[in-house]
Amino acid sequence: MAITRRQFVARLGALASAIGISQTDLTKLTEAFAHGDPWGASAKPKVIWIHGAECTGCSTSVLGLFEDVRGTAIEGGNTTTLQALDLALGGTGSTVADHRTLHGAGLNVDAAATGAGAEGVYVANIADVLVDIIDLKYHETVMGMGGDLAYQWLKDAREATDLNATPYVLVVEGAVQLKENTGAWNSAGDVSWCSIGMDGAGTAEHDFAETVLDLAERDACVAVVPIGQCATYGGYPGAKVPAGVAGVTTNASNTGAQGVYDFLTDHGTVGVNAQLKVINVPGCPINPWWLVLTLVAWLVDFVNIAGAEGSVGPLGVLKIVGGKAVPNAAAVDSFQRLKAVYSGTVHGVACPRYPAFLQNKFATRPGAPGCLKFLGCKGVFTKSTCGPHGWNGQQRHNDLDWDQGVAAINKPAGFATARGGHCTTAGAPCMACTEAGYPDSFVPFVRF
Amino acid sequence: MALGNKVNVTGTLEVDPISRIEGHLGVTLDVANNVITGANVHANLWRGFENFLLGREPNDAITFTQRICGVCPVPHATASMFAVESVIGANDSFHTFEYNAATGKGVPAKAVLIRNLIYAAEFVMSHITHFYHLAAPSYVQGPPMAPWTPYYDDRYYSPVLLHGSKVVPTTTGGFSDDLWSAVITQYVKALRMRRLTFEAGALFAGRMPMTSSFVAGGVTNDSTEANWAAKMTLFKKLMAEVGEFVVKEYVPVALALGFLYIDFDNSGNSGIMPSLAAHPDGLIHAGKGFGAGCKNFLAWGAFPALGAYVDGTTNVNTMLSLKRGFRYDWNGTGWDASGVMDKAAVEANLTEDTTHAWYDDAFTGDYPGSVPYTKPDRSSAAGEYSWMKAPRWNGRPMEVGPFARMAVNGFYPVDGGSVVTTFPGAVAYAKLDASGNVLGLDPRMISLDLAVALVRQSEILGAPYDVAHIMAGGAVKVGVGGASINTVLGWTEAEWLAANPAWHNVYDCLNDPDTYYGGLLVDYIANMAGGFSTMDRLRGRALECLFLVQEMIGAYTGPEDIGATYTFESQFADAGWIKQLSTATGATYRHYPTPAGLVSGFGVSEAPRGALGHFITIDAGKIKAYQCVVPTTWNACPKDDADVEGPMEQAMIGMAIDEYDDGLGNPAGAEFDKESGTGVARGGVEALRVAQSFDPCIACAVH
Repeated sequence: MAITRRQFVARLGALASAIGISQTDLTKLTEAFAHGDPWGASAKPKVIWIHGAECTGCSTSVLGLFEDVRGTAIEGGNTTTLQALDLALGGTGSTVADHRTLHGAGLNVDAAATGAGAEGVYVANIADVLVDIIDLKYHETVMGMGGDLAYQWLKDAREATDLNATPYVLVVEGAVQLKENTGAWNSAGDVSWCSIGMDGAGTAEHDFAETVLDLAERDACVAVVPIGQCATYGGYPGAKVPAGVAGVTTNASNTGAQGVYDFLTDHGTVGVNAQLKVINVPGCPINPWWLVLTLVAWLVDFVNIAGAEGSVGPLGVLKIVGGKAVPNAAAVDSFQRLKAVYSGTVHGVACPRYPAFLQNKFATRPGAPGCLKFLGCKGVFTKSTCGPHGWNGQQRHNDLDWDQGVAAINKPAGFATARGGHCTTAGAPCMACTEAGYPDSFVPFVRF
Repeated sequence: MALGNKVNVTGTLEVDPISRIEGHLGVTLDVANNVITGANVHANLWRGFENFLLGREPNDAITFTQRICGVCPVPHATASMFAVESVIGANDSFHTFEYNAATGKGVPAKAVLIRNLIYAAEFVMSHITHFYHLAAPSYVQGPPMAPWTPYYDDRYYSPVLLHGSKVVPTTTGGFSDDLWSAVITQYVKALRMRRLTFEAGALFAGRMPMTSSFVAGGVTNDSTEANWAAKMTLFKKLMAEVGEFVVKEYVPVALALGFLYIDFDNSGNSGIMPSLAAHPDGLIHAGKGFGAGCKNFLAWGAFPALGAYVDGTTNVNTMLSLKRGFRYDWNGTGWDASGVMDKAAVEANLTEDTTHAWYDDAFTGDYPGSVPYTKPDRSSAAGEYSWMKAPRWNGRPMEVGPFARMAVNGFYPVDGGSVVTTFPGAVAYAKLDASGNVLGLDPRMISLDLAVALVRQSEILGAPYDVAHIMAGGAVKVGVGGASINTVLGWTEAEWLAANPAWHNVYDCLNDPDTYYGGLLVDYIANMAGGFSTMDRLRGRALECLFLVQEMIGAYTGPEDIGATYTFESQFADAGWIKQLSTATGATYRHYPTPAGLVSGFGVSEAPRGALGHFITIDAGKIKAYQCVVPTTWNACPKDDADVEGPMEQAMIGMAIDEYDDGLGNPAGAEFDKESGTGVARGGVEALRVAQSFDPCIACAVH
């Protein structure tokens, strides 16, 4: 059966998640924009999403966003996503205790929209949001254009002939490798480690590092959001080659790959100014929710923050410094992650194996029941919301009301509540993929 | 927009970035009088996985190599796991099968099945994503908004696949108003499908896209956990919904697409060109075989079956769902050479050439298992143009991927044989008469929305896009499933009949067991000849997706009458790996100690986009050498030392490429409105289509 226009756009919410916002979030944001559109009366918030030294795993992950928005949005703050959005509306943050879930045989995503409560109102507005508000301008895996068309578009963006008038959010997926950075191999040359497009004549290329700098430094760029381990801390491209391999004299990354924040450190005033706008969303890959929550929190504050120097947004995420809304130092940790999103550790009550830990039951071989501590689990110090939010629809709140009608898929034996599904659910030790220094600092991942 | 004229293209044309693939790829084309005469496909990113794996614990390679590619991490995990298992004694290289006491090798049955399920779930995700979200926008104009704008000039698309100023699909009475709306609706629906495949896989993987549960010797899943049975039930439910979509939407559309882009189909089929300007008579033409490629195929095979596996090759293809084999030197009707490779053959025939790649050439032409590291050399010696190496089998470039696999399996004919009757299994799209002749398409085998949209399309455009040419229905009669269609739509028969008369034949067909869909499009599908072309590659992928869904959850037993008891699961037999897992006993892991000495081996698997091999040497328990020979490296590789082009390069050469001016004297590419997508775009979409048909993944290819 065909879907309606409303349903079409509702499901496009999954694609809108390419900018990290669920469809429901978008709806409320529309209303927020109606209160005062920061992008001007007719302009749309633009998002430019570029790929460097990466594997596209984060895009792949984000496109699988699960749409249930129940649960605590900002860990520790007792603020749900919807409450946060209500704040954006100028409300008290007290609306909507619960929200729609998927019901029935699967395709009927709007079932709850016709039910009780305010839910229907949110869904009804989505069409306008996606079509009229959001503007994902560049994302090589999704966009229609390619070849010279795409090259020219990005060229204009870098030279600001098209984009300098309206603010945009820059999402970076992938590590930055400097063209002149020889890494471990000391093989100087003028060929880029990574280029993202070539002009029609094949003579001029977009070097990725130069493109990041060009797009991040501009005033119109209101936020720089590196996602995934590669873009945040260098990740796998930043993993070190052991000294002693033929040709390698120093223990260093092959290509000198680094995260965006560190990359900007080395680029003078321009870089440091751009650095102020960075909010990291690490993970390998990221859980779509981490990006959603980070961006929602950012948007809520960006929309509502007062202009006076030193003002802080309603969620405390942004602060006016030097006339610009930048991440509030009190809201981010030393790795530039939002504390609210990377709040607790993987180890703890949200881990399905925590009950075993409490009973001193430990696994000694893969595939065995028990806490994974002695198999090399890094959950004790790894900050993430893997457990509270769960992955791929394994939200803990889905224990009873799941769109396929199967209950309690991640409930530890003898315990009343389900946990969010993630690595430890499958018996895999946490490998600390949200922490700086991953992977080199955390190997071996499994101890036999 | 001013209507421009086709212009002569001669010289160099750079198409970079090739978008809607994974990673950084471009192609430098030599064009003479609008025909491609040369192609240099180049990859634009290097990270160096083969070097930073050195000195590490072998088991960590399973996690590391998944980060080679976030689109197909599980195949890397699988190949890596098999490679590690080859050096710890759990297999004889290639694949790891169920534990066999006679050989002392293998992993527990549960591990084999869980590996297969996670792996196949990702396959299905990748194939659906490729067709709808990556490839389709090169054939279908997206809605006129970002991120689909700007797009290419209208003339590059089939008139029935233009957005027609519609921002979102239009529907009336619950059905798409036209073919464009139906296809865009599927695009959106496919987003849900790919998510469901992730949710299914994550039940055992912990999370997707990258699985956490693979470990050398088995999997980490605790099979004694309380939720084990519920997970299996849920897996089947999730995958059955995906399977229904694959059967009724993905496969039919993939089969039909060539009809509207006939130049990209093989010469055994006939259809309509997208641009009436290209064929002013507007009539049916035979395919031109754009994108045919090198016609050499290689597959490592994948998905071990349960059972006792003994030696290297004699029974391997009875033990693999997707078979191992090679085919090369096509002579017009068959291949001069073919076979199933054993370990000695791999060591003797497999090489990687770096003559035209940005690497130090010390190991060019060597067997990857003997290469100690990969040294970049960006000094750009003349003729070097890519970060990809050039894999060769017995000196030949080989195409890998679902098309190659389906051919090696014998599921897809490339010799002009019938596609619909060669593909095995119970999925019967064709309606047959008493003598077994194909009458047309079983109306229950394509989605109702697609059927209605095709019929409605007839009201919009005339020949050759009208209903008589695209689809014609049968007689008026209410029969099988009469009540059920109403159930689905919530309509009575009277409401049906009061609706647009043009739908009646769809309704009638669906309700009459003796009727079928006919017309030129249906004839095209029913009589489809297999061959070598861009479209054959897309069809092979869709059919493989259908095959794998059935391997996971059981054979498709539909189409069942749609009724009150209709469920997605009821359309599939109670079989497949998920059924086997529900009755399997024992552990999920078998321990193999890591040997202290110098040991080499390799593991292979099939990524959604082709044959994948990992080659490992360990010493003192640590990785001493690690090389990956990756699908897109096979497909999109540069030339070798004999200047023989790679498969993708060969696929582009000889193809026509069109450009238009704007009719005002401005040349192609000079001016276009990048915001609205109007104006005269530079050409290159033809190259995009061919490149995308390989489903290239550059992060994989240059690791």
